[in-house]
Amino acid sequence: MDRKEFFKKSVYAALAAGAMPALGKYAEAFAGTPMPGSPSPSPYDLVAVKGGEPDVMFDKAMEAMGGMKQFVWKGAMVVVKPNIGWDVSPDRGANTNPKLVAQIIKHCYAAGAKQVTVFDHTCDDWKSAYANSGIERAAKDAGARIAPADTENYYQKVTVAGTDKLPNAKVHELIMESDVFINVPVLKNHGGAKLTVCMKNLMGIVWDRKEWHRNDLHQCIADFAAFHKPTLNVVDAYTVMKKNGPRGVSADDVVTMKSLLVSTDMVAADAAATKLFGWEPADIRHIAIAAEKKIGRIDLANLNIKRITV
Amino acid sequence: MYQYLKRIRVGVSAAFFCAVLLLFIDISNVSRIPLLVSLASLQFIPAVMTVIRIGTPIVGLVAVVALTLLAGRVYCSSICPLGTLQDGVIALSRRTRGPRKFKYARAFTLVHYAFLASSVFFLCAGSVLLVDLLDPYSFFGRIAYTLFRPGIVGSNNALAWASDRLHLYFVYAVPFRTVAGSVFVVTAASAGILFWMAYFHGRLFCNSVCPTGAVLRLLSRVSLFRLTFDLGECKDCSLCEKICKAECIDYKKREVDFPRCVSCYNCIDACPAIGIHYTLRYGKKGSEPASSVNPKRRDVLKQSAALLAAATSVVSLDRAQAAPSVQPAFELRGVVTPPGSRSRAHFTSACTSCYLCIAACPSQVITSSFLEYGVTGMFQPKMDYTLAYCAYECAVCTTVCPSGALLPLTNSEKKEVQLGRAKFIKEDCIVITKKTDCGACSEHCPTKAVQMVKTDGLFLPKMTEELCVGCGACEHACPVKPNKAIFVEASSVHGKAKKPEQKHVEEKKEIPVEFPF
Repeated sequence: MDRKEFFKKSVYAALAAGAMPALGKYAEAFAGTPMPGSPSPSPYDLVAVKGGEPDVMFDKAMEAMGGMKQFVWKGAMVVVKPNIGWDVSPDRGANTNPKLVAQIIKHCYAAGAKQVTVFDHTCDDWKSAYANSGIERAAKDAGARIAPADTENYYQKVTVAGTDKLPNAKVHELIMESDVFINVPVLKNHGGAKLTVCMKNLMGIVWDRKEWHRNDLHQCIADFAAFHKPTLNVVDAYTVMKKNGPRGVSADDVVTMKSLLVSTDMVAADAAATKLFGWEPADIRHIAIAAEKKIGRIDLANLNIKRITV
Repeated sequence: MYQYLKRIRVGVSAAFFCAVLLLFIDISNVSRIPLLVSLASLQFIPAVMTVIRIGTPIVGLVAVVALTLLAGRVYCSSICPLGTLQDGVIALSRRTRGPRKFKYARAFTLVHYAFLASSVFFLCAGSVLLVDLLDPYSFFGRIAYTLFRPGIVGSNNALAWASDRLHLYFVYAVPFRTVAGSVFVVTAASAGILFWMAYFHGRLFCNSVCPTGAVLRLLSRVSLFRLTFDLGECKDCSLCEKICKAECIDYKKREVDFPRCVSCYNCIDACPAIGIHYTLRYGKKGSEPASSVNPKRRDVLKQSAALLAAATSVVSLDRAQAAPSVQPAFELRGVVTPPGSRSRAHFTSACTSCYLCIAACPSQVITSSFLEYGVTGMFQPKMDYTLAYCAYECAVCTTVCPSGALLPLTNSEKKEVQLGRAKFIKEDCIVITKKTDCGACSEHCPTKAVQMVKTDGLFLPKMTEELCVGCGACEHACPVKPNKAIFVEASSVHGKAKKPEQKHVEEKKEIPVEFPF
């Protein structure tokens, strides 16, 4: 059994058993996925910050979460997955804020990460999108490397257990093989999924997205969220695209919200982001389905939320 | 001086060859800087096409004509990449077949000028047939893109594969795209014939088929300087004839058929003395009998006049054609022509199918056609939205075209060009057939010409055709199999897309005063 296979099997075994705590810290480390019900490494279910620059807000949020050391250990291989879907400039709010991506990378290295890699399966031409989003430059300057995701050979076939519409998916090898997976979506309006936040951002780690569009998009998004959960989710709501998403037509589509959410629970982060956007979480079907499937919690009122204003 | 001529020629031709080759095989898109791209527009036939179809004067064309009138077909052994490619085959032939195997051959003058005349005839008729097949630069481009580039892509991807296995992500794989099978077969076969000709008969193509060669051959008949034997210096060794790849040196008669000479200077290099050198054609030193000069000159003048008349008629013909129509015309599922082509008529009448736009397209949405434009537009590039879609922020193809088929557009100009209009077939849409939300088309649309509108509890695409730029993003993204529920219908005359409405989202408190949770 080689290293890669071992990781895969660990993930499957952990998921199948659905009993992560029983496997202890070791398996949790490899799966990189604190399961629902397992003790969160942070005292809070969700940290929300507003009023600062992306890097400052992220510093504050991580302070509240107990520091990046809670998620990244010495020698860990980290993959950071922002939204780099579109070949547009940062002011358009279509891609994750490059400053935030850079700050996350710095935190990872400070916590002892061996290597941080940044990638997204873009919609537009990947080289142009990486460059014009400002993320390639920011990531490289912060010491991370970028990886492509535009050809099928980077993807590994996985089986998604207990799903309704999505039995198979092909997932990027970096997700399968990294120790820590940090999901960094940008909050924006979305023509297909209505709103894109954490769960929708995972469409950028799979190969065949048309399959999802063909087979009930919302259901597929929720199904896949059960398969692989990020170690940490950081929602960029600094520049928020309010209409014409996910690509946007011009800078007139965005408002400056200067907000940031951090959580290990994708559903909670998505629900809070929906509220921030001005909509109701239950109205976004994939969030409602995911909550129903107990992938995470939608009941914000009962969560332990830390609210910070910079 | 004469001992350096060949070396200079080899250096210059190698530089031109490498630069032009790079334009076609560079998969990283970094080499297509204006300086290199301008080398492509020095190419004779693309420059001629620009002049007759657009009417823009090309300095390079004047320079090439002047150079030829001065010293003969220097172009053929320095600027022409196909010439240098043949020289490579000839060098191989020298190694394998043995050196000095050439001998003076008959001139296929009639055949050669017949090819030129037919090309000019088709040009006058508004078609590029023959010109696109025979133009040495475009032929070279197709060989480089179709036959050489896959090798580069393959090696790159092998390296990328190795780098990925080591998780270095140092070299990136690029999608393996090739042209249509028919285009590949024709290009490979014609390249095979070319290589065969070069291997056994040197520059036979240049002196019996090539239309550029024919024009320059005409011009070099009256060039100021020409290469001639110096009977006093000649050592009677016949090396010059045996090494002449144009097979234009008749050693026995001590004559150089200068119009056929491609100025490679091999003879000068091989000569133990300076037995062949440039002489003034009209000076006293000219050894040619005076009687033969005048009829030749008259011939040339006649032929040139005919060519000039033909070229002028082509210009006037094209001007008439290019009168812009206000209303964009549509044809069902017609072939979408690349940005900057203005209209199908303009594009198909000017494009010589060199494939530089295909090689340069970062999205790789431009590909070769076979007979989609009809026989007269065989092989010309087209947009193929099953492969990819045209990037909204990109106008690279319009800046590299050397023949004026694609006219330069800035990024913002290109955003208003309507290549076609997307048509939505409601009955085939996932939202209708499977009763679930999808929205892939609207997601990808850069202008929101297709919006998702709530209909019976689900969101259904709705087209605003005036906004559509025909980029094909919706068509490419549509998940419906086998026939897309949304597709771009080509505009045979490119229209102008309406600018998307720029209304700022409702003004609200930017930073939430209180968290809404």
